[in-house]
Amino acid sequence: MFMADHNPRTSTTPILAVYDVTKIYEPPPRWLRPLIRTAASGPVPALRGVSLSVHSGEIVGLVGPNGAGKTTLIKLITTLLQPTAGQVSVDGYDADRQPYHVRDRIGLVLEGDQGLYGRMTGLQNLEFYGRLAGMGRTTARRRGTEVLAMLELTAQDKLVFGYSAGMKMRLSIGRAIMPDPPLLVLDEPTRSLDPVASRSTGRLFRELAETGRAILLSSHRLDEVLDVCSRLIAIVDGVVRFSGTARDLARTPADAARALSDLLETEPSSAP
Amino acid sequence: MTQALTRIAALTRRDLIIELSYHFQLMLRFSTVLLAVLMFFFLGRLMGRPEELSRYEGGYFEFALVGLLVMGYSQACVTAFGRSIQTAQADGTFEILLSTPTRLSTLMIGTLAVPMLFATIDAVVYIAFGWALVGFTAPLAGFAIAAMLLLLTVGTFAAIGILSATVIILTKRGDPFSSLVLQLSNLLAGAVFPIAVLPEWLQNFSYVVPAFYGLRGTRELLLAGGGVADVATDILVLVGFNLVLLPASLYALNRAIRMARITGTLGNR
Repeated sequence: MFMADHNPRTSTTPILAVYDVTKIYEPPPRWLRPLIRTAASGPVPALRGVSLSVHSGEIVGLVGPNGAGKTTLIKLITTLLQPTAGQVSVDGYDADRQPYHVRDRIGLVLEGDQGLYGRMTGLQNLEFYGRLAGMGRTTARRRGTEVLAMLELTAQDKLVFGYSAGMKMRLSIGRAIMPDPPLLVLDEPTRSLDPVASRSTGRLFRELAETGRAILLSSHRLDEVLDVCSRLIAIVDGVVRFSGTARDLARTPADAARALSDLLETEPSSAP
Repeated sequence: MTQALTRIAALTRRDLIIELSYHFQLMLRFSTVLLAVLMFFFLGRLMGRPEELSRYEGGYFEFALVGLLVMGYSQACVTAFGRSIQTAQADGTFEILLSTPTRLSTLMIGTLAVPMLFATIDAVVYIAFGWALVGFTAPLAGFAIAAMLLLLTVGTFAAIGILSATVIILTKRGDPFSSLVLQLSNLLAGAVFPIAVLPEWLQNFSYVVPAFYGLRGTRELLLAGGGVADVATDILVLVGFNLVLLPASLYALNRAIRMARITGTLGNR
């Protein structure tokens, strides 16, 4: 069964709108180059004319091979990068001109468990991020306890460095949903998880979407995105190669996975 | 404003939890403070009451204690930002922190609270030992003005710390300013010896070191019984340094982050 069949709740106004975004990594000014190491000496195009939208209640999967531009797109959306051209807006706020409003409306999970403090407990981590989002101490504690319960992380007083990879992942998601943002941006959140934990995380994403959140989920795992996401966006070489539902690709999930895999492996010039 | 304070409190609590979890490091830290006090105490016994310090009450030990106190705050301030950014880059929290609605200035102030707290504990230790070993006391009014001078001195060091953090954001490693500035301040500002012992041509450089005014003013207040009028020049000069250095350093930091957002090097390690 495709996700689109069991998560039909979407609204017409997108929470996330990306319009014709291009990102070229510019080298630093010449006078600073002796000090700043970058991967390449010249401009590196990472995204070209990317447009997409994610609505409330929707999980949109972002797929593509390594170096396709998925993480670049995520960092542009979350204001960590500045676009060379185009516009990103979140809940009506422009990411470049109103970054603090945008950050107020985004929960970000970046490459697994980034952002967690190992020498703090799960609850302390959540409280910390809750307070950075502007919550008072009591509210942050109450919300943190709620989130831990929701994520089934019962060992709330255990230090995070003692967590398993799956627990850290769930806590990272908890960190992202602490302020209850309308948009969740998840960059390969299940990369280090075993299949069971991965499926359980997928269920969690669906539950979060059912409460009205918009979710952009970047993943290498085609089975996961086909199972969890209501729409898919495939990026290859910084260009959107496919945007649509799994049903647009094939009738069954297995055929869709094959079609998607073929799509990602096809040379850009021979793409449909 | 309330939200900024909430965020500063959260950052302070985070740093406190983490710092207090390293028990051994904490023990070492306070052992170092005790050893420094004892070392300067015995050095003071050796030196007695040098002529260069004749205008101050007490001997060399009291003179050095004030130097340790001021430079302790300065060191905490100048190294806090860079260390915090390097740690955040290493443990992968830097980009996540920057993706929260917390302003950069709030992150900076929040980062400073725990190092300042520890410097205050050190200061209490210095004063307590000074009192216990040589009966060091200072007028309360002197302390109040000295606190203001200290704040101004710390402001200039904070600016240098922010510049240091700026370079770390761009280059990822290397804390180019802190150790250089601290060593120069120790040498030229008269942290643990009066600048009168320096060659005359070198003494001229002391006047461009902000710590010189902080140290001179604090000693005037705590060791020479001076009042506001006696340290007015020091206060004015430090205000000037703050007015120039703080906005300049914050501007440089913002530019560095902007550049890192363009080059894509913000999250690099």
